Amino acid sequence: MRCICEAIIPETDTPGATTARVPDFIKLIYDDWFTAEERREFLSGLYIVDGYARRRHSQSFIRQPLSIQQDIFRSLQREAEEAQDRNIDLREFVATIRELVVTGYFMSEAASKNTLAYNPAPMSYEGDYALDNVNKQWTY
Amino acid sequence: MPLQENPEFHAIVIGSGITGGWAAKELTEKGLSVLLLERGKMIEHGKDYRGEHMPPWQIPFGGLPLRDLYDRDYFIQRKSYAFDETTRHFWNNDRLNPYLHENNEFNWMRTDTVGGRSLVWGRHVYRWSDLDFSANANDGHGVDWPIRYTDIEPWYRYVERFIGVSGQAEQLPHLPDGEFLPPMELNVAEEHIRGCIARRFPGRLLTPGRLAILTRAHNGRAPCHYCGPCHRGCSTGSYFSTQSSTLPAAIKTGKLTLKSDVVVEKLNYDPERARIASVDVIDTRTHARKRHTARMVFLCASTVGSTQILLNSSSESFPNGLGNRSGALGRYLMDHTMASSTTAIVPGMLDRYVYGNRPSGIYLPRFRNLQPEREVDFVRGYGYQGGAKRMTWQNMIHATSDIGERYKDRLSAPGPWSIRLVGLGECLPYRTNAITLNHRKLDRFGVPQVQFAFSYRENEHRMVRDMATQAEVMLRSAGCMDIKSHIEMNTGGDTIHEMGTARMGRDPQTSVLNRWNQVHDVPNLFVTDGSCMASSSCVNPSLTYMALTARAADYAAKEFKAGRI
Ligand SMILES: Cc1cc2nc3c(=O)[nH]c(=O)nc-3n(C[C@H](O)[C@H](O)[C@H](O)COP(=O)(O)OP(=O)(O)OC[C@H]3O[C@@H](n4cnc5c(N)ncnc54)[C@H](O)[C@@H]3O)c2cc1C
Repeated sequence: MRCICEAIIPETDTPGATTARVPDFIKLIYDDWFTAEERREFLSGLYIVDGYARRRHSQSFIRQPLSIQQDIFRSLQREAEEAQDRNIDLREFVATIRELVVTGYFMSEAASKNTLAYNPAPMSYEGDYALDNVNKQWTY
Repeated sequence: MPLQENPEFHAIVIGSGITGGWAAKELTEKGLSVLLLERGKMIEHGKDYRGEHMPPWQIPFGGLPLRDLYDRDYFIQRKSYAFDETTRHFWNNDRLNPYLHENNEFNWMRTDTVGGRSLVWGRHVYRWSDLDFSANANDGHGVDWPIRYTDIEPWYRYVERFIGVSGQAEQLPHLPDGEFLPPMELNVAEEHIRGCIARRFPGRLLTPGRLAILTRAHNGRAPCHYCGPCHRGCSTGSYFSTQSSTLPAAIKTGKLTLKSDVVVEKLNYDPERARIASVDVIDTRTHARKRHTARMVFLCASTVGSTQILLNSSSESFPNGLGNRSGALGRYLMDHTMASSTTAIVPGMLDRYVYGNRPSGIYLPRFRNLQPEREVDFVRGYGYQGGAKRMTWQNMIHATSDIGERYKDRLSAPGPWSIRLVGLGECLPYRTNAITLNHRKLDRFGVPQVQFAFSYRENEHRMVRDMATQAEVMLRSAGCMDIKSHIEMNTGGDTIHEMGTARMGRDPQTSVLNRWNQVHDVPNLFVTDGSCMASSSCVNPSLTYMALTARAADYAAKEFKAGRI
């Protein structure tokens, strides 16, 4: 799980998903928010990813370097899209994981303060502001 | 029960929301002793705004809805955009406070707090004009309003001066300018579209939303600090709420007694004096019953709440509900349609952004049927709300199938400018859009539950189609791309502008209230919330409710001092 998070949002000059504790967020969602049915689907999604890694790269997903993990995720995603209605489960899994990772990441303290621009009390409003002044999206 | 010689209070105000707060302020400031009754719990200004300034990382479950809890206890309230974990403590529990609507035709959105919906409202405030007040007389739908713009204009001014309204004067006869504080700026994309519309569509205009939010210090309240989500509560009192504005003013007089956690069950009528003699209440925690007396009553429990009380106050003199000799009580329920939403991308301006979270948007006032028009197949009109913004990560999660560094960079930067125009349409008053009481279904206090029957009709449906078409035409002419309209008739109540059911009118045979919001035949009973409305206009209604309340309170206090009440 940790690897998938980092594959989607890697560490760069700003924090990655691991630093932002996205895996903890997803664990919380898994334990306390998902229904039993969703937990089952989510787990089988993870197995698909790992199975795919073992078939194509003859090693489990977590053993791969980041770039291979990203390739695996990309090709799985492509497969899910091409398979159209035959592979609804995989498509839903890929969409869910994307949503959870991105939400967990951008709602985190690390991303709110570093990746985005955090300014909880701006005190004024300007509707025509040079993007250069901040060069990031505001945290909201 | 006969009228008391020495009642406990000069006046009882029922409900502490937008209108009840105003009634309490006005009556106490005129020297009357007031008992303010509220079924909701106390929310202390500042202290109880639990979600205010909550940073994203403290919001439970990353803001995902707590589905089991919401399904069980908030299956109606969860439908509001302003409902989430930062505001849930303000809202009504739907399981504990049921109502009936056979075909899920009405969403009754309400809070459970002192302050009522003033805590979470959208703060858009627009004056009506004579186009609205004479609409019923002109096209024959509904009964004529007993007042015109000149009757209410001084009260609009009075209310605006107190609450503080930011907005831009535009000299439109059908959307009169108010006493404005400086407007909140349009952003570059909105300015661009404003310009295009002004050039290509004479008579149409995009203007900053007119809002009960301060852009400079006003009456001891601080200007907006642009944190964004007002509905979580504002401890600097920068938007109008009961807590920030009317309640402190009423308390200052020393004449106010506020009781929270008491639900008004019914009003008792004294047939000999033709007056309300007392008010029966139930403690929401202990279910203990009590009776309060006063010389007059202001019913401000919101449209549905007030009509429920009137319907539940039948007596031999009024077998079909208090003040209901006309048969109009409970009928002619309206809400605005909000069924058309058009979105588009505004190309370019990618080096421009905004500073601060503007808690507002734009307004595009009504342009249809200002004069009788041939090209439209409906009566009355609509306006748009919405605004432009640069897309955020929330909007772009599935915008690409990429992942990794590029994906991260793309989500961290502001996306393209996007704009949304949502139409709000006037709804005609229909006799069969109504609320009644179901005497076989009682709530936990033993009060008969409200039952709704509501549907939008052909005129509203036609108008909604025009909203989408015209939004597309305007956005296309402004060079927007990827224009998409979503049309889906909303459920009644969704716009939270429910009104009617105890309408004002000139004729006691067809209306419940006279020109002073006074119940025909019951001189010491005033109903000043949205239930008094004889038509709905297409603008947000609460400013008009406030002005009518202040006006009625002024009249009532004069009648009281003259010994007639
Ligand atoms: C999310 C949201 C956005 C909105 N945006 C706008 C906007 O932009 N512009 C606009 O004009 N309007 C807006 N509205 C609508 C606005 O909030 C209402 O029109 C306004 O609050 C009505 O005022 P009121 O005093 O009639 O009712 P409320 O403010 O609802 O107050 C009524 C009070 O009476 C109490 N009560 C009810 N029954 C009883 C009883 N039996 N005994 C004792 N107390 C009782 C209630 O608990 C409540 O506190 C919005 C509403 C919501 C929820």
